[in-house]
Amino acid sequence: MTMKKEFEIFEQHVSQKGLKHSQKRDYILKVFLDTRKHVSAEDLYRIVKGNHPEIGYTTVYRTLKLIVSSGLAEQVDFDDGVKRFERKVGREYHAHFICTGCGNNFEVFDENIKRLSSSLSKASHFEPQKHRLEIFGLCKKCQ
Amino acid sequence: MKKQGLIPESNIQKTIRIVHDNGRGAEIDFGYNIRQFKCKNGCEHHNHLVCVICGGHTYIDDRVLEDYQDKLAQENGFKPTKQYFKIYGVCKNCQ
Repeated sequence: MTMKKEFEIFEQHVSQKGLKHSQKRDYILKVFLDTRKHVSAEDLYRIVKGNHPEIGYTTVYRTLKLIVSSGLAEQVDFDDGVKRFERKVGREYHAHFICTGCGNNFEVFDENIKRLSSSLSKASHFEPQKHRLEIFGLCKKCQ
Repeated sequence: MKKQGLIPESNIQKTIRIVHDNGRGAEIDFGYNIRQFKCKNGCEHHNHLVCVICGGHTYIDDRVLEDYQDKLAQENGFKPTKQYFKIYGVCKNCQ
C-alpha cells in the first residue's frame, strides 16, 4: 500500500468526523508514517516541532488519536507505562521483542504464529480477529 | 475467596505476593485494571484468548506454542524472561 492510499483513508476518516482538511494534520501523519518506529505522542511531537515549531503538542496528540481511530495505527504495550503506536495498515504480522536491560525493541516477522493462532482458536471454538506476541527479556548486548 | 469471610483478603494478597516474589508465580495484567496471579511452574508464558465482546480471558496451556516462542527468542539471540501472547476475537458464548 502506498502512502497516498493511507492519506486517502485518513482524509475520509477526518471528513466523517466532521473536521476540515488541515495541512498540519497531513504533516503529522506524514511524519508518523515516515518514522516506521514505535512512537509515543511525545516522540512524535519532538520530531514534528523540529521542522514546524508552530505545531503544538495538543495538535500532535489529537492527530495521533485520529490516526488510530482511522485504523492506520494501533497501540503497542511494552509494559513500561508509555503509550506507543505503530503503523497498522499494509504490514505483515510481527512479534515484538523488548529488552528490559537497555529498553530497545525490535520486530520479528514470522508466519508460523498465524498458523498456531488459527489452530489454537479453532480448538477453543474461538473466532480470532488479531493476535499479539510480546517477548520481554535481554538482547544480545545486555546478556 | 473474598466472599468466604474465613480468610482476610490481606492475608491472601500477602501470600500471593510471597509466591510471586519467590519466583514461583507470575502476575498477569489483563488490562482494565484487572490483575491476576498465576503459578508459572518455572515458565513465564502468559498466553490467553481474549474475547472483545464479554472481556473474558481463557488461559492457553499449549506446549507447542511455548516451544515455538522459546525457539523464536533463541533464533534471535534473545534471552526471554516473560512472554505474552494474546489472541483477540469472539468466544464461543458470544458468537
